[in-house]
Amino acid sequence: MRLLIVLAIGALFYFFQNLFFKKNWYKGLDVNVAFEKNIVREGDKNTLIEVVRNDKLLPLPVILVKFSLTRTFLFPRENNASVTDQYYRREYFTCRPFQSVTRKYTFTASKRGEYRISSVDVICKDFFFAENVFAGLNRFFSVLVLPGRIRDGEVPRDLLQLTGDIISRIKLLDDPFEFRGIREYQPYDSVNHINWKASAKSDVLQVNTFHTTNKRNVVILLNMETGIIRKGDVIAEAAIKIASYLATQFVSEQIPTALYTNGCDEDSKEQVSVEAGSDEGHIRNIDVALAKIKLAEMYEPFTKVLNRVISTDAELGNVNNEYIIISNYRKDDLIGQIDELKRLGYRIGIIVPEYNYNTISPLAENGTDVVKWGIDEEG
Amino acid sequence: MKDGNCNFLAEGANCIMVYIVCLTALFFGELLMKKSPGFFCALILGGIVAFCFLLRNVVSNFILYAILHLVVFGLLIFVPFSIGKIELLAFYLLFVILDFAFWMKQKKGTFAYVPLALIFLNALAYLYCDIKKNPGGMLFFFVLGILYFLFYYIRKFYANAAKLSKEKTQDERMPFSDMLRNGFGVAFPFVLLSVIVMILVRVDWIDQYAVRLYDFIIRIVGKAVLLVLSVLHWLSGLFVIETLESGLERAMGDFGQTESNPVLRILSAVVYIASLAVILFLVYKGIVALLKWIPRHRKLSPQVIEESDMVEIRERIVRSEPAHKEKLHRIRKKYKKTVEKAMGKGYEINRSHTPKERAFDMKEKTGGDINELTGLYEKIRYQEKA
Repeated sequence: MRLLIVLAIGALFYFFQNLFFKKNWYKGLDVNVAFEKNIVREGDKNTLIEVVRNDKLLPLPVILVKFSLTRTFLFPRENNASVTDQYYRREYFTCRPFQSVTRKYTFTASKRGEYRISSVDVICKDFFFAENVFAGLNRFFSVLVLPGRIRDGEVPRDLLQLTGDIISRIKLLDDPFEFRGIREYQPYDSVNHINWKASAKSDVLQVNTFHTTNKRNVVILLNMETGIIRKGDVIAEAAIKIASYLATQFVSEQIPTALYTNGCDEDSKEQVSVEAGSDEGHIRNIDVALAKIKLAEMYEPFTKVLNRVISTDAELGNVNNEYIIISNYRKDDLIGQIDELKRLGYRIGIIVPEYNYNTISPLAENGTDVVKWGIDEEG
Repeated sequence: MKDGNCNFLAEGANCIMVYIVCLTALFFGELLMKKSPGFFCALILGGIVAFCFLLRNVVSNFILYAILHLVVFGLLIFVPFSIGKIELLAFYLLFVILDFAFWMKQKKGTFAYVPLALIFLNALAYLYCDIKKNPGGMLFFFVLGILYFLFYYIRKFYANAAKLSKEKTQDERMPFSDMLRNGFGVAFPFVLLSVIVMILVRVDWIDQYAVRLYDFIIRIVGKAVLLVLSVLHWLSGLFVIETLESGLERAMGDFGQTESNPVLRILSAVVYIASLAVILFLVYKGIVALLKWIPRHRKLSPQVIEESDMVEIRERIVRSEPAHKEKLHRIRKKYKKTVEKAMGKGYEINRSHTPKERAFDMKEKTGGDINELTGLYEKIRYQEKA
């Protein structure tokens, strides 16, 4: 009898420790994967933070945390990951009782978009490293990568002229109710703007300055459809960057800027659009909207979007808006429609992102309202 | 610890298991043939197993390996010793055959892993000694059996650790040494506990203590039952229920004759096991609570490991200090009591007042100065919210 008990204890011991481990391993265990910044700009660095908390007496000798990330996040060392369509990370942890382990990895966000970690798998081995226990955490972590900034040196001279013309046209009229500040009198200033009190105090003629009326908006129309098959995504990404650049330029001059595109939001599957605005957060709004655009094979014909925007503006009485179309697609239907709108008196500028070795025919650069944005094949 | 070390330890544990199996077979065989088991023979057998183990781990040339085996085989044949020569030769031949077969499959390592089921050999030998009333033999095979279990678990641990260490090729940052330490920290006490329990089960004097404990628990429980029955009896007397009274008397009488009543014996055994389970559960909970309490309130500075692209911070999860809580409660309780006292004296509290406004108001209306207490109260309250 005793011998049987001894044998049973010896044999069942392993079974019991296994049972004990399976029952208790997940108690007090918390695995968290997050990003330091939820919004970053393309090319910026961000930090991936992995936290494993074991808030119990039982140590967990082996914890394997598995999750997938976009491959556009560039980590300096990629030994613990396999990179295929996604970046599959495998992280081994070990936790003593009541211990928290935090790992921080710095990476570079190399491409615009909204990226998520939708599920994290946690695999734990028992004390004899023999059996695996598994838990899937359906937590949601996301990071938004805004379009990259274009440096001033990269902007074509013609485009600078185009934006400069638009800004000066819009900012021609001062709004007497929007006081901006006081400055020294200049010969071109109107005499009725002289602030006599300020002039008397400083012994120098001072004039009041005003914000402009800004009754006219700039409408950026972004066509995601490209006329090319090979490396069309490079062109599309460049077009998004141009839209971001233009929005920054106009909004920083307090010009209300709107954005319309036939590109769709990845979540809502609806076309991205941002109403006109010029407040401090508007650049961020436009960048966020641009970041969420998903590249696709098929888009709604841009002519429809253009028609819709023009007719809506006409209904609202915004007939003096400045339109800037960013489109690589330049087939007859679109060109015909633009010509027709120009004939009707609409002011429309066209920016064509195109590879340096290609021409933008049938359009032609004219230095005023048609501009080519040259792109290297690498983007 | 490196992958190779884990593998070596697993192989070593397996080798000891092989040795235990051989030793059991050798001594059991000699017992069956009514020969006296020889210590010298066991020593030589151990040497042979160790030699085979080292040979497989050190020599990679097959010809050299075969020659060395032949040399040992020749030594066993030609060196003049009489005790257990045939048995040793038979064992060695078996080793060589198995080893050669294993060589064909795997170049490195030693013997194939022996299964746990071979423990039946020890059990058989133990039973044989029990029948033949050989306490020395029983103890010997019992110890061998315990060791077999012990090394089986050690081998399992290190063999799996060696497998796990191969994952390091995929993740070079894998904290393998820490994993091994943490795993061993739990696995080893488990193994030790099972070994201790196995030994305790066989120890005779434990029985006496078990019987004493049984008597003690039954006496205590019996007294408690009798007390409850007495109360019931008294209550039944109050309400004049004759049948219950007579039933209780009978029951009390029966409980006093536990030894002669088989139903009550079973009942007392159940009570004993249940009481023991409750005691063990409480002891377990007490130990766990103590172990939980000790590390949780001892702050340790976090350990930071920095690499070029990664920072790892290991820190202990520490709960808030109970002393701090107590202090916090004391001040808030004191404040509450003071305000309530003032209310008792007729002060009407305005719920919309801040503590400072209340202190001012109270001083104006009752003359009581609680400015200092209010200051402390605000500080504590603010800290808690922060």
